[in-house]
Amino acid sequence: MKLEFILNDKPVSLEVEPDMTLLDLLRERLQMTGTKRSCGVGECGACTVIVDGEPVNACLYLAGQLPGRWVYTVEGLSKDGKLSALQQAFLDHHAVQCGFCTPGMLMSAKALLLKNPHPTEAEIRRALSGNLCRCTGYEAIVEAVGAAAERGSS
Amino acid sequence: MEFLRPQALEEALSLLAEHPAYTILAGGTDVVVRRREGRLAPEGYLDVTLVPELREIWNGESIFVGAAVTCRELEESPILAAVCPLLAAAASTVGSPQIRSRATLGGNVANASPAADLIPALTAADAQVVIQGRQGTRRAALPDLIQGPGRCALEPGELILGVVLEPFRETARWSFDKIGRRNALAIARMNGAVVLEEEGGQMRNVRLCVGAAARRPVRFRGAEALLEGQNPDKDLFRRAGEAVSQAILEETGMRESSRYKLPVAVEFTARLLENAARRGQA
Ligand SMILES: Cc1cc2nc3c(=O)[nH]c(=O)nc-3n(C[C@H](O)[C@H](O)[C@H](O)COP(=O)(O)OP(=O)(O)OC[C@H]3O[C@@H](n4cnc5c(N)ncnc54)[C@H](O)[C@@H]3O)c2cc1C
Ligand code: FES
Ligand code: FES
Repeated sequence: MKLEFILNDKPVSLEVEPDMTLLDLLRERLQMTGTKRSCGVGECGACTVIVDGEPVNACLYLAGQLPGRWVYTVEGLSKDGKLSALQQAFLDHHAVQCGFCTPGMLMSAKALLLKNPHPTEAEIRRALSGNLCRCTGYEAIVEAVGAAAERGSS
Repeated sequence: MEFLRPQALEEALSLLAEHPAYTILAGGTDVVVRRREGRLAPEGYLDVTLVPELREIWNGESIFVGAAVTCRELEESPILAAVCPLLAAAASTVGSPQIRSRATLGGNVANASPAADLIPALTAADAQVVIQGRQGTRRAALPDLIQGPGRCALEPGELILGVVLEPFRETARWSFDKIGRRNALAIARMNGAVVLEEEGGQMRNVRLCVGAAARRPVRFRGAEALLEGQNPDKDLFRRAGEAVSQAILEETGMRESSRYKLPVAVEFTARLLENAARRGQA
């Protein structure tokens, strides 16, 4: 099928198999490898991207359902080579160790802040509850998201 | 690979009649997982998420909730908050935020997992599933529609349109609970819902469903009868729990998991009832 959608604010048009996952589409067809693959079945959140304002697991989203959607990936966070405030907060708060979970965490956090710019700590924890991190124990990540929210930009 | 995306109900039904072997797709959170695990190899897809009738929640004489409404939308629906908060509460516990963006009510019902969280809530709310096929529309209660793990009695060519349920009355008391391995992402190992009405301090019209315990969603009529017309009481709630546990044993027989499940079912049921009664005092 011919697929047209918006990826990080830019229109994309390409020929794809409709039963391909968004994760394969990003990583294999578009060589955008910021979005990570781990479990492949919706359990780890490494592949989290934002579609029409909602966080989703790219490993469970089929390309056939993408026409006309607005997709944001971690590559869409930085602007002109500059890290976003949210990304900077992750670094400042030592919320990144091996970094494998980071793109997914960032996108879940971004989806939260888009809807709720001033979340409580409980709301932050709930928003990140679909993202596993094997390294950090989450505290630093929750702090980073809180700090970015306080600064009023993500 | 054909990937059909009807944008009207008529079109969806005629495409389904033409391609009865195609896999109906909503949020894909079960379909894509089953495909990846090699348990499903779709010949084609029929995506129902663009059918407007399936995307609606409306409040008329009864409440209608469309099959393609997502758990996020259930969770945030002002209509449900007012007239069936139980369904919103159950939806808010499904999977993770990412899963709730996609997982739909119709998918939860059709998938017929014994661990599905919306099923006990819908059962306790006495919801009727609205199904449409070539022959027209029919309605079915969940205990009749779901015949066992993974077995939803839909005929080829039939589509779930949604569910209808009666708005809760002011006297309604309810609770939903589940216990699983982790808070997020745990497919419930036991879940349940209760709805009752409190009139002059007494419990009436008790509807109790404990899911993931039996092979299909059932209301526990024995326990309901024990509670009917009584005052809320801790000992009584425990006896109701024992009745549930006994009924599960009769339904499933003694198995490896029973040693864990049966005592848990007693506590679990008692807590469900206590929470419903407590919500009444608030
Ligand atoms: C990581 C993870 C965690 C999960 N956690 C939970 C949880 O906590 N609680 C829970 O209950 N579930 C959970 N699930 C299961 C799943 O998300 C739910 O069952 C969900 O509601 C399925 O909806 P869907 O729209 O994604 O269904 P799909 O995958 O699109 O479809 C599921 C089935 O329903 C059929 N179908 C869909 N719509 C219709 C319709 N309108 N008419 C007829 N047939 C239809 C499909 O053909 C398919 O057989 C989880 C899944 C994952 C991957
Ligand atoms: S790779 Fe998608 S959730 Fe794990
Ligand atoms: S930093 Fe390593 S998994 Fe989170």
